[in-house]
Amino acid sequence: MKKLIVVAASFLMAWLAGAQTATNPTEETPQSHGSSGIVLPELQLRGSLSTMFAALVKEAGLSGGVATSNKGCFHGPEGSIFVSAGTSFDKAVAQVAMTRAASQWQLRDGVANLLPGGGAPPLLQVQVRSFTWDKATPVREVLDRLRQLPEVAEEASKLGLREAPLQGGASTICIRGDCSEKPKAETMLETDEGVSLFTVLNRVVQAHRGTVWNYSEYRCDNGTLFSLSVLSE
Amino acid sequence: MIVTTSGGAQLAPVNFFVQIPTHFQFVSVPGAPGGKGPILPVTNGNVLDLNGDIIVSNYCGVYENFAYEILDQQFNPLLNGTATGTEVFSNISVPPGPTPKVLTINFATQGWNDTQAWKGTYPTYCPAYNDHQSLDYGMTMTVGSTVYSLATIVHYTKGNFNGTLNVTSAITTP
Repeated sequence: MKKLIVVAASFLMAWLAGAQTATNPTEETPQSHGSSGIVLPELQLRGSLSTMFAALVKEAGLSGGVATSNKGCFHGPEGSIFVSAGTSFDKAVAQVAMTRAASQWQLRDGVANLLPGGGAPPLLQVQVRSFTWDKATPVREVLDRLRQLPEVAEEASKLGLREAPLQGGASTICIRGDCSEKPKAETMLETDEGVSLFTVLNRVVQAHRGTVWNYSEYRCDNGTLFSLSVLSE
Repeated sequence: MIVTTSGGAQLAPVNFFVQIPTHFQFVSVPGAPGGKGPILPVTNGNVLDLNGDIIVSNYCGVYENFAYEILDQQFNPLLNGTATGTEVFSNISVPPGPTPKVLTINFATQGWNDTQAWKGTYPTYCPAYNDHQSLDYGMTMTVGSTVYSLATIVHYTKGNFNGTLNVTSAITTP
């Protein structure tokens, strides 16, 4: 009996370690990372796994991306987590990741990713031949172009994925005070070639601190749907 | 009421009113008088938000922009501070529904623009006859470590209704 408890405890510790350390979801991601060194204030997180993660990433002043593979035709269960003042970002993300079995996370170059246990979903691993984007363009527009790349659309079709209805979204807007149009930022073109969609998404949000991309799959009556959107910006 | 003392003497009491984000309402902005923009059917065009930014291109369907501001418990606008808003969708007739978004709102100058659209990339995902969705829209606001669920709910319908593309909204504030 004692032996069984030791084995079970070892398994649990190994599982927890797996949930809290970086993994290798794509060929281009690191094996591990050290502590982010970011300490958080007291936080009350509420919502789905994705929204709690996005709120944490914003609070930490990072950028991020989250991929979820839902077993049903819904966004996944909601929950709430209390983060006490002084908790490290790493520990808080691990807390969020553990709300859904088999989630893993990583942090690289200021971009935090929360992924299913098996790593980045297949569509995010498709190789983008060449993609030129402007750092001054809003992220939503860049992600819309990425979603419509021929190689992405072809891969989605091969994987049997259908586009989830595109239902708009929310953004802040000036409603009082000086609402005069701000001068547009200067064009800063970037070209990514022969890298995964996952890598391009991370590079895009890296250029916009506080922005989090979201990729979701849903098992619905009419097949498996996918969506690619901006969770926060 | 907070009572302060100075050198042992009690100063005149002062009342403080602590504003709590409790409701939201439509707010007029350019492009959305009364908080509502025009209903825009699109065939292979762009969905634009009220800032004029492209949300989706090569779109097929219908959309409408809405503008909102946050109110306190006495239905006055909050004019100071920053909070994190998270969208809440419920009673979704055709799942999975929109992905809730997280926004940082500076009350001094900002509200938010919600774009409600239905349906997808042209020509594959155009709305079919009587292809529509309804849902309830709400918001939670997090100030510091406190989460406030706003009492206001907006009921949206959008899509193809007997061959007509339309969007409706009905706001309820208890």
